[in-house]
Amino acid sequence: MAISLLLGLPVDEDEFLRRGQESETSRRSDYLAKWDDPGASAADRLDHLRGWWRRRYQADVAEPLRRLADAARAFGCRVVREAALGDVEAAAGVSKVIVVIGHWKGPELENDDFLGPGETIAARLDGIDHPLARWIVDSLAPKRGLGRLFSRALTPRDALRASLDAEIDGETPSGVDQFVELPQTRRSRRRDRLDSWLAGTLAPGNRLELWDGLHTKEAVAEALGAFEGIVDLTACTTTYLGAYIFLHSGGRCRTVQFLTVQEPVDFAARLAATLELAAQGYDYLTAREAVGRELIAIAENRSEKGPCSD
Amino acid sequence: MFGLKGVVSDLNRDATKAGGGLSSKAVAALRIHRSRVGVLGVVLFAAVLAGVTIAAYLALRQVGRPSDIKIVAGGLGLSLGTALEMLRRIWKDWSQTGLLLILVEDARDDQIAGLLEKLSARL
Repeated sequence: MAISLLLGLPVDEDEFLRRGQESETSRRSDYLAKWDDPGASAADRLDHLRGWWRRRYQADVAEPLRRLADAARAFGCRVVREAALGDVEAAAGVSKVIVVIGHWKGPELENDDFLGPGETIAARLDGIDHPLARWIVDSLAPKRGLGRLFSRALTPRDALRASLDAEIDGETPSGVDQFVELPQTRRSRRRDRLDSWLAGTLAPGNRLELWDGLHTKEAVAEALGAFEGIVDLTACTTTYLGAYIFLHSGGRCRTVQFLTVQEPVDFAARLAATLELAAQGYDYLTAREAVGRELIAIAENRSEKGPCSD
Repeated sequence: MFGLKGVVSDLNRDATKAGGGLSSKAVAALRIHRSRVGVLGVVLFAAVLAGVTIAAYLALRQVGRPSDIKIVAGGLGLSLGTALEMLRRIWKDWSQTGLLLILVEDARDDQIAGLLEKLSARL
């Protein structure tokens, strides 16, 4: 089987409820956490999740993914539901293309990521000799004199969030005339540093969520081993993960992903069309690019003609 | 869709996107919205103030000519009424956004998701 479709997100109600109620912290779903109240009783938690399934998840996520899985099976792909990291490893042994449907917990600092009291952050970063650490410590310090009129000390949460995008002198490699980096890559790189400095205070970011929990880029690359095909990371802005896999494999493994966060209904339709073309003999990357181009052309054509014209 | 309702609806719709959480996006979007609405309010308030000042000045110049004063007062009444209603709406939007920010800044993602869903339906 040349193409494996790995579904790391729930596609039916039973999967959604089981995954949503996961009690083991290391396996708890970050993607479903926004619909789960861990403090509620078991019965209330179940009701709560059922409500979200009915109102949002079923139509917005599960149905598009189920249609994609059906289409993939019809085109002769190998479809794995409840896909875990072990399934990535298994797919690497039997496939030329691996399509991963998972959730990318990116570099953004969510409220749930702050595990400890913010007051300790300045103390923990104080001794670290790095421009990013110094920038955060400076932005936390109360301003003195006239400085108070123009800026105020940030809260720990705001300082850490702002540090991901801030222009910080001295951070780029010396001896380089021009250093170009995607904003998403810069955020991810800085988030990795913050995670290592503030372990235990911050829940780490830059993780790929599959059925068995969140995985680092190193673990995903390790699971792929000597795989020499294409990994389609589909739904997320996983350029950081994609670049790592590419470099780790010495360029033998190609990755492809979307540059912006996608609606499941959009990426599922796009992937189904790609798989159909691939089943007809098109090279996977050519098929994916052609589908993307066609969809853009359709969208542009529609916006020129207006939403009601054919 | 403009205003707080538009911001809340966008955030609520984004909740199912595969990637990212809710709170950081919600805090950033609400702060940007509050700041834009604040600037708009200040500009509109300055325009109202300038309008009233100019109208008062013109009225004072026309003392003794009641028909001209009537025109100035009538024009001012029409535009001032609309501007004050806009200011009231801006003030309401600004203060509701501020209140929502207080709640969202420290809430868990599941609490924010519930809040956004309810507000999206009822605002």
